[in-house]
Order: sequence, then structure tokens, then C-alpha cells
Amino acid sequence: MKIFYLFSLLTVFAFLSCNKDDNNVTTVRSTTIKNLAADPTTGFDPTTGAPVGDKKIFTFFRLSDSAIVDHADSATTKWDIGFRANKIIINSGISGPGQAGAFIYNGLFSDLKSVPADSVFKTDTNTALAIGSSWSTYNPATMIVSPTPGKVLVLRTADGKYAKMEILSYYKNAPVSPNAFQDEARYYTYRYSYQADGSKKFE
Amino acid sequence: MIGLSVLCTFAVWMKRVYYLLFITVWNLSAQKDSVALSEVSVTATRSERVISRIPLPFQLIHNQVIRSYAQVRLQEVLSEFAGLSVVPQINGLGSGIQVQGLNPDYTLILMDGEPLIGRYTGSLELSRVSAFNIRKIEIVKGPSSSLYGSEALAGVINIITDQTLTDKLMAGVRISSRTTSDLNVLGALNRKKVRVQTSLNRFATNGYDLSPAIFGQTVSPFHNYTLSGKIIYTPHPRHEIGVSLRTFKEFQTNQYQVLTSGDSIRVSGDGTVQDWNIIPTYQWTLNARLRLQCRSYWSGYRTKTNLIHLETGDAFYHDNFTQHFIRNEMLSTYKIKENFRIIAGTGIIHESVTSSRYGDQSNNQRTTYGFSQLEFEPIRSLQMIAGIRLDKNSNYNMQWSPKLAVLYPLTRWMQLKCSSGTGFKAPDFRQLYLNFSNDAASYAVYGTEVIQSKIRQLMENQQINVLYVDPASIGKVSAESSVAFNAGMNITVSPSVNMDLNYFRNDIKGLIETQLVASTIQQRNIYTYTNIHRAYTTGVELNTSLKVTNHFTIQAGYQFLIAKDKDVVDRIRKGEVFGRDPYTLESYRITARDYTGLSNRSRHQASLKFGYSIPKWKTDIQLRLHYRDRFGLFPTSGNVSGVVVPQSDLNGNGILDRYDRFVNSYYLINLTIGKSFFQHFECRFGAENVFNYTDPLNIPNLPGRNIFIQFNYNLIKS
Repeated sequence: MKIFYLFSLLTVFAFLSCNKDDNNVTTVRSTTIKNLAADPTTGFDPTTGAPVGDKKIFTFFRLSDSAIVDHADSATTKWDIGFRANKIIINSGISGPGQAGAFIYNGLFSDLKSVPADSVFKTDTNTALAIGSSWSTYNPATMIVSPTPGKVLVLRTADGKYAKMEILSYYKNAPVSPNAFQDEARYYTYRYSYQADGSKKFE
Repeated sequence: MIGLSVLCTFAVWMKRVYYLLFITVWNLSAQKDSVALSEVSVTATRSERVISRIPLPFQLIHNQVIRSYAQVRLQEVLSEFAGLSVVPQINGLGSGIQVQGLNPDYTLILMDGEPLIGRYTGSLELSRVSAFNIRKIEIVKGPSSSLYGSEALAGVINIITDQTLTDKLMAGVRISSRTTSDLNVLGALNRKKVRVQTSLNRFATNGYDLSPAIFGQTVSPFHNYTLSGKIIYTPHPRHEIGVSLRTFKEFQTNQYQVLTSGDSIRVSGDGTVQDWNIIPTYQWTLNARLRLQCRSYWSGYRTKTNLIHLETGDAFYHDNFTQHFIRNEMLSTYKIKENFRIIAGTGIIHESVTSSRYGDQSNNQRTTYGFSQLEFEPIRSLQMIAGIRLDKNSNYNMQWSPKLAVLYPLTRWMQLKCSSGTGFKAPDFRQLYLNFSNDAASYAVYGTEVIQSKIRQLMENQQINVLYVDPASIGKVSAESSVAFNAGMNITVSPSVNMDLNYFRNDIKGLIETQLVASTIQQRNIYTYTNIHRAYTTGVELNTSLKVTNHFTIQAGYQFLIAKDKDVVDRIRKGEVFGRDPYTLESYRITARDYTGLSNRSRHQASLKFGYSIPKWKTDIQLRLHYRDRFGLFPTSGNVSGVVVPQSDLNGNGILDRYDRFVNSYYLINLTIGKSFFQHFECRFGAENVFNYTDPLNIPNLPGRNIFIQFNYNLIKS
């Protein structure tokens, strides 16, 4: 008898959760990308302390299908966002031929339900990149770069669609407490939501 | 074996405490402690004032207490009091003093009324001061800039050395763990018109090593000498001429590991620290009402550090630092009538600093100042003090520092105290003249007097990539200032039961912090100093003493403290502060309740002390228990033994909140047992940190158990 009750209870739960999923078909899914290599180094020069082994090139990423775009396509609109060390560029202005734009939203990723109406998207210029350095915080004492919590990158893609992104870690495998001398830097973990229908809504 | 005997003694002693607490009816002695009641202090008002009538939070540490604890350096003495926290310097080592939750930079430390110089990153190393010839330490909490000017923001600690009122010869030796020794000799002569005193101290230690796995010791061996002397000549009862001299020199033998861009480098080398001062004074008592004082103070401080790579022998680090401080002051005290006194003073200070870090040229500052203070009784038995001081400095803006304090005896056993005033701290030489670049870590820090020309030079060479602030706005810095309020009461239930309670609040603005100004095309960040932060500290301090019998006293001290960055509080209120969970990597909003405040502050601190004497054995036992609540370390750098302290900011928001890593709370037990022999000898033994508590990574300045034995010979002619 008990087992029967339990069984029916489970069935009800399964039914309810199915229902929930069905209602939220329009929700824009959030995708998490792990360990995107952004020109990692092999070490440091012992005398100058300068990084060595890096190729000084950006890693290009397309939001619509989570694809890494070949570096040869840097002058095309195939990519939306590029990463190299702690520098992030978007496909517009001085960085590329696309119509990308970006700004930093201060708040929680989940709180940003749509792109606010009064938003001003910036592009990469000679004096400043659209996504500046505020997304990360450098601690000179521990020499750790950590993504600043509560910073959401609001993005317009190379072809004019909208997305929101939050960077989660700058170190390989997103260690809980990164160590500058043991953990490999320049590996991005981030999550983002991409709205394919061209609207500014994220749910 | 010693540990066991200490424990046995402890157990026997504890039994006795219980016995006394539960069996003995409190034998509240009716005998009045007349000595304590009539005792005067000069620190609070700059003229003698009976301690029980000082309307400010005031604490007195007597030479008898220092002796009964058998302590030899100043930081050991101060660490025994709950409202005074001994905190490390920025590298985790050394010892400075935190008063009312403010950093060591904001407490003025005086010796015989003159400021000790030679601060390292704002903190004055307390271990430079030998406790041997201290007669008493007077501590005034809350700002006293109205009398002392810069640095007297959190409080003033005045170390008063031996007065030489009798002929005496004293010698002492203390030997303790880690081949540490402290040797003293003091001689004093008191003749009809001349009083002469001289003392010599030698302190030596092998240092200690809390992390044996890492090359080098946590604290390297060092030894130092302090020679001091004093002559007071009274040609006429109305004239007094005095000269005090002090010289200190420390020799360090350093050998440790440092971290440079991820590599451990073994370095070694010698270092010296030296300071000296001369204080000529002249005091003229014109009549029963008017007194004039002229004081001059010349002081110098010098450090030399020379480090080489142990393997290659190449130079690694070299720094010479020289500071001079000259002050001339005139002070007049005029007593209009009983309980109505006016003081007025004026002076001039010259300061100069030369350092390899400041570009090797001499940097100078000049301050002229004047102050006045009125002590009066506007209505019967209400004591009032009103004072103001003006400081004019060649480098920063003019400072007015007013102060008002009242004391009112509500009943015969209870008096109320209330005071308010402002304090300030001038930008120090580092903030003005630092010329430092670390190419390995690709950053540079320039003082506010240097930054303008550096930026201009970089702009001319087209090396600036991004300018974060308007170049016209940088390079301007003003003094940090505070407004404080203290209110408290003193309750004397009987001569044996005393309670002192004080509430404090300090609002500080214009805290000087580093500011990112520009980054160069080589990705190098350029920093300078600017006034940005606002902070507050508030709390309650409670001190009670209970004389259970004539031979048994209990003292308890407690401090509750909240210290927060006001800008952070504002940002949290607006919902602009977030944290990131290091496991789920998700962000969340920080609430006002989550924010724990500034680093290196413990919310609770307490001490409990038992003093028990057995006259027939000429023995006394002093047991002290100190508790320190958990505290955060953010932001910190690796300690000098070349270990990186793990990040305390676990959720990446740059503030300390309840999701971060904290240093565990701990307690320490110190025990001293003393016995007098024959007429002139005394012997003390005991242990500091009896249970050997250490935290090598977070509290490298806390050595383990320290067992000591001390012998003193005192020949005092009464």
C-alpha cells in the first residue's frame, strides 16, 4: 500500500514537472562554456616576469551556436566576441566589421529579464573597449584575477541579436580558491543566454 | 617538565580561586586607596590633572603591573589590555597598536611627551621600546589633535620613563625561549639640585620559525641596545632645566625566501635600525599661578637594508631610509583660580625624509601650530575642558582641531563623562614622495608630489594607454580627518569594586588609499594616493576591577567593535554589491547583515586577569586570559617567509562578508609567578601563550609558547 502511495506521488511530481517545462518553452536557455582558452601562457620569463608562450591572438566565439571561430575569420562577421588574456573585444568598431555592441549591467544575471529600453550599447574604439576591465578584479597581493560578481555583459551580436553573459572564472577548471602559481590562467568559464528571435527579451 | 609543574601550580591555584570565590564573603576593605585617587596625569590635558577628574576615556598602566607580568618590550605590555590590540604591519609581521578599531597609523605614540618617529607603512614598531625604565603608560582614547596635532586621531599613548626621585640601582635579566635575553641596568642619583639617571638595555633573540618546511625563519635573529639618560637641574625652586637622551640600535641578520613572479628566491643580508633623540627642556614657575615651559625635541631614525640573492650573490634589494624630526615648543599654564586653568602653546616642526624609495633626495615638511585649552567649572562640580589647535603645514591644508569634554559626578559613586572632538592625520612621506616601480609585477606607485611629473613624462613619450582620471585632478591630497564622540561612566561601588564603561564612535573621512591613475602601453598600471574612503568605527569598552580580598584581585576587560567602510555600506544599501559562490559560480546580492567590515578587526575582545599574592611567602601570581574573536585579513600579501596567504575574499567582491575566509578566534593564557628574596632580589618565572597557540599562515607575528625566568636586583634608597 505504502509503495503504491509513493508511486502515485512520484507520478504526480513527474507530471507537474513536465507541465512546468512545457509552459516555459519560450525561455531562452542559458549555456555554460567551460575552459575557453584565451591565449594561455606556458610560463613566465624568470628575469622580467613577462608571460611567455602566448601567441598574442584572440580566441573568437559565436554566441548563436557556441562555436569557436577560426582566427583566419577575424575580419568577418562570423564571430561575436573575442578573448585574449583579460581583454575582451566585440565584433565592431576597431575590432571587427560586425554591428556588435556591449555594456556592463550591474546586477544579477537572473534579474536581467530583458535589455532595458534606455540601454546604450558601446563599440570598441581606440580609446576604450566596449567591455572594459570592470568585469574582473585583480588582487595585486594574491595576483589573482577574479570575475567581479554582479557584472553582466549585455551583448549585441555581429548580426544584431541580443545576449547576456556572465563570466564565472578566469582559471582552468574554475578552482574554488585559485592559486596564481598553480592554476592556469586565461581559461574562461562563462554562461550566457542568446535570444535568437532578435527581440530584447531573455525569457 | 616545566610545563607539567606550571600546570600543577595552575591546578592548585584554581582550587584556591574557587575557594575564595565561594567561601569567602567579600571582604570589601574600607581602607581608601588614596594613592590612586590623587594620582595625576599629564597626557590628557598637558598639565597635571588628577586622574579621577579627567573627562576623557583614560587608561593607566603602572610600572608595578609591567613588573609583575615580567614583560620587557612595549608590545608585550600593551597586548595585555582588551581595548588595545597589537596588530601586525602590512607584511603580517611586527607589531603596531589598534585603538578603537583604527589602524596603527592613527595612534600617536609619545615618550615623555615627545612623538616617537620611524614608522613603517604607517605603523610604529612597538618592540623598539624597552619596558624596563617605564614608570607608567598613560593612554587617552579618542582624538587628541586639539593638543597634539597630526596622528592623535584614535588616541595618544604616552610612555613616561623613570622619574628619578630617589637614589637607586637596578639590574635585571630575563632569559626566555628561543635564546632570547633581555639585560638591564639603571642607576639614578638624586642630589639637592641635580637628578641624574642612566639606563642601558640589551635585547637579543634568535627569532622563531613557525613554518620549518620553508627556507628561512618567520622572524630572523636580531639584537638591539637602548641607552638612555636624563639630567634634571634645579638651580632655584622656580627653575628647572632638563635634558633627556635616548639612543637605540638594532642589528638584524635576515635570511628568508621571497616570492617574485611565482619564483621563490632565497635572500640574505643584514639590516640595521637606529633611532636617537635629545629633549632639552626648561620650566619656569613665575608664581603660584603662571608657569612657562620651553621644550625642544630633536630626533632621528635610520634604517639600512641590504639583501642579496643567496645563490648568485647578486644584489636583490637595497634601501636606506633616514628621517629627521625637530620640534620647538613653548607652553604656558595659567591658573586663574581653583578649577579654572588656561593653557596656551605654540611650536614649529621641521621634518625631513630621505629614502631610496623616495628617489634618494631629501623631502621636507614644515608645520607651525598653536593651541589653547581652558579647564573650568561652569556650574558646581561639572568639570569642563574646551580646547582648539591650528596646524599649518607646507604640504597639506590647514587643520582646525576643536575639542570639548565634560565630567559630571552624578552621585558619590558614579560619574559621567562625555567628549567630542576632531582628529587628523597628515599625509605621510610615503603618500607624498613614494617613487616605486615593480617591473616584475608590472605596476608603479608614485606619491602625490611625484605623480604629476611622472604622468606628464609618460604622456610626452606617448606611453599612456588609458587614463582613468583627469590628470589635472591627481596629485592633490589632504589630511585624513575624523569626528569622534565618546560617552561613558565610572562606577565605584566601593573602593574594591570599580567599573568603567565607554561608548565610542569615530567617523573618518578622506582616508588615503591607492588609486589607479593610468595604464601604459606596456600594460603597466600606475597608482597614486588619494582621499577616497570614508569609514566609521564604533563600540563599547568595559573595564572592571574587583578586589576580592587584600591579596586577590580580578580584572575583566571587554571591547565590542564594529568598523566599516561607509562607501561599502552605501553601495550595499543601494543593492550594488554582489558575491560569487566559489562552488556554484553564481552571483548573489550582499545584504547589510552579510558585511562584516574592515579587515583585522575582531568584533569581540576580552581579557580576564587574576592577581593573587601570598605575603608570607613574598609571592605573587598573575594569570591572564586573553580572547580575540575571529577576524578577516583582506587584502593581504604573502608573509616574508615567502608563503602566499590564501585569499580571504572567497566571493570576489573585494569586501569582507560572511561568505569569506576568516582567521579563527583564539585565546592566549599568560602566567607569571614572582617571589622576592632577602631585601633587594626578586625572581619571576612563567610563560606567555601557555598552550602554545600558533597560526603560521595568518598570524605570523604570534610566536608559540614563551617560557621565561627573570631576576631583578633593586637597591632603592628611600
